[in-house]
Amino acid sequence: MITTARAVATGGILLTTAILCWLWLAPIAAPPGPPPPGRQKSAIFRLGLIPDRNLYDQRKAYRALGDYLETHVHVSRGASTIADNPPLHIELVTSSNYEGILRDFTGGDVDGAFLGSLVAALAIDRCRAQVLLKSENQAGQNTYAGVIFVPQSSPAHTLADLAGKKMAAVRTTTAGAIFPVYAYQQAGLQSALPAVIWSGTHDDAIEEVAAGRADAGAVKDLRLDLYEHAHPGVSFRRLSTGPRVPDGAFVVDRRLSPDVRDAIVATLLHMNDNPDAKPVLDKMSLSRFVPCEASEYAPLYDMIETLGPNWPAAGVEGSPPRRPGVK
Amino acid sequence: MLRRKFMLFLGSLLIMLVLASIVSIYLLQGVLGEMDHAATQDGAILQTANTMTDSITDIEIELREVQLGNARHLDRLLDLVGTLKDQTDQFGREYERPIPQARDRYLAIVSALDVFQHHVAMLATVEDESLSRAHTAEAIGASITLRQEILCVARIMRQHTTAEEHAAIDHFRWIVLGIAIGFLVLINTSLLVLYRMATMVTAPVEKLVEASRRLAHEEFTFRVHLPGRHQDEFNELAAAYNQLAERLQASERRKLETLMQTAIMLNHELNNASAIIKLQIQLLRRQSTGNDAFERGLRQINESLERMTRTVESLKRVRRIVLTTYTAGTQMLDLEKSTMEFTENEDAPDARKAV
Repeated sequence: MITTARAVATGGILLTTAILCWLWLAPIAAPPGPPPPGRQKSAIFRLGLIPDRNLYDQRKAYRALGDYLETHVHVSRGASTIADNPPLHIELVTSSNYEGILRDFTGGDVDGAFLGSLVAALAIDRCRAQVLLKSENQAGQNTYAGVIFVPQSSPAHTLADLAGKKMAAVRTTTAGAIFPVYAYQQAGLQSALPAVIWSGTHDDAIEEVAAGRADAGAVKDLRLDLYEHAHPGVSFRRLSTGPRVPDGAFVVDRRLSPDVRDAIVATLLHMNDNPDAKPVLDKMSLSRFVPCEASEYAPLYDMIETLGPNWPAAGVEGSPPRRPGVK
Repeated sequence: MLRRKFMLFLGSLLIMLVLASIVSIYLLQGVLGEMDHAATQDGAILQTANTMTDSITDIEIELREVQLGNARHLDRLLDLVGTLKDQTDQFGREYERPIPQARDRYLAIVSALDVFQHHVAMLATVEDESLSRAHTAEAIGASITLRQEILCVARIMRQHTTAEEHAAIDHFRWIVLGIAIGFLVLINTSLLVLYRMATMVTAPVEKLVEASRRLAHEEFTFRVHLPGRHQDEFNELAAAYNQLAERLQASERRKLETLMQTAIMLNHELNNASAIIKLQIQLLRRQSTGNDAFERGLRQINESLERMTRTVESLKRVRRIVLTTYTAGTQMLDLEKSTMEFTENEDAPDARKAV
């Protein structure tokens, strides 16, 4: 009996000790360990962005596109020196202005970018970049036109009425820099060209007009349409609209590995066929990407050639871009 | 049976102690968790507020670098703004819900952040100086509002956590008091249980010791009766004792009966002889007139005869057999003690009393 009692007592003490230890240690959870480092080297694609609307929304939209490309682009080795089927990593590089992206192309800081027409033409001319695709919005438009506009309440009804006024625009853009000069030149009103307030993005230029800090604006018509759609109480009068040029062109550095370039282009072209891409395209307010040729920029080159010696009035640094194939 | 009882009592005590310990640790861990949460939250609030104001400063520095042309890319600036927005969201998620009075202040932070980030974006890209000045003024205003509101929310939250700390300390005091009272009750219960267990052993042992003592005094009529319906080891021992006493009593009774029969027989035989001797002594006394020596001899014979008659008579009054040493190695009946009544501490021979 003593042996049994001793065994019971010992068991009880051990059980009690175990329960108390468990209770004491139970809340302590081991922190999750770091994931094992990947052994495969990534192919890095630096995607350049230029501010053309709300910077944060734009970055979120392109980050979503980058994430989509990272999971859907399959890079084959081909002639490249990167590893077999390397994972693709997309880095976003946001330039502070339109001229900055040209410096990024020149300096090799970006491998590709989504660009407006003038910067794309400058990149093709000055950086030997290659235009591959353009963006098509959810209304089926893949081109845009520059538009000069005033608030609906403005007394200005013609371009001449803006003489001595302030016009908000974005430097180094077709809509903000080339088209106003072109429009006033075509109207024979070079001297009536309003003073330009250089905003950072088309959306900012529209907001400056809406806020009354500028009398008129010169922006992409697509951005103006979206702004009016998003702000039903705000209405603008369009005084002049220019010729249409490709919108949101995907331009790449010619030094980019053909494997990476082709894989990305193929994925972008088929995004509209993939249900996974729908939320990404929605974020970008696009329906799909379509092929684009340098020749589609002919209306831009026409405007630039029309400016002729009046090119410096556009406020773009350096010489005007030449048509592809012209030496 | 006794072992089962002990196991039941000890097991119950053990279970009560374990349960009390578990409940105590659970309650203490809960209140310590509350105190730890309050302390951690207090530190976290300060840290989050500092981190948010640091982020605002970092944004301002990076914006200045962009404006001066030292930074060509806006990614770091956008990341910093995104980080500040995430920190604000986290600030709201963690503290605004449990602290309703901070809600208005938090909404002011969110509003000021929207204004701030809007003008930061404008300033990062705008090239016109007049626009830049206008946006700078608004951005600075929003930045100041942000800092003020962050500090205000942090202050409200610190008050809240201080109140939580005090509540946790009060809770802790009550729990400690409750545990102390609980363990006092448990200790008292344990003492009662242990006393009961000791009684379960000592009470029957005392009765058995008393019975053994009486047996040693040849009091064979004594019996042990233990309370309780269940048969345990002590009941078995008491039963064995009672059986032994029964047998000894029966043996003693048989001896007494034999002795009594012998006494009757001797009484019968000696009475006859004694009557003849007494008759002859009377005849001899009549014939020995005036002879003193003869008279004295007859008187001594008569006294011896009477003593012998009394001895035989007393044999009939033997109540028990008490021996005494006659010669070395030989014992004889102690007639005086054997005929004595039981003392006041002893039971009557025929009465069966039980403890």
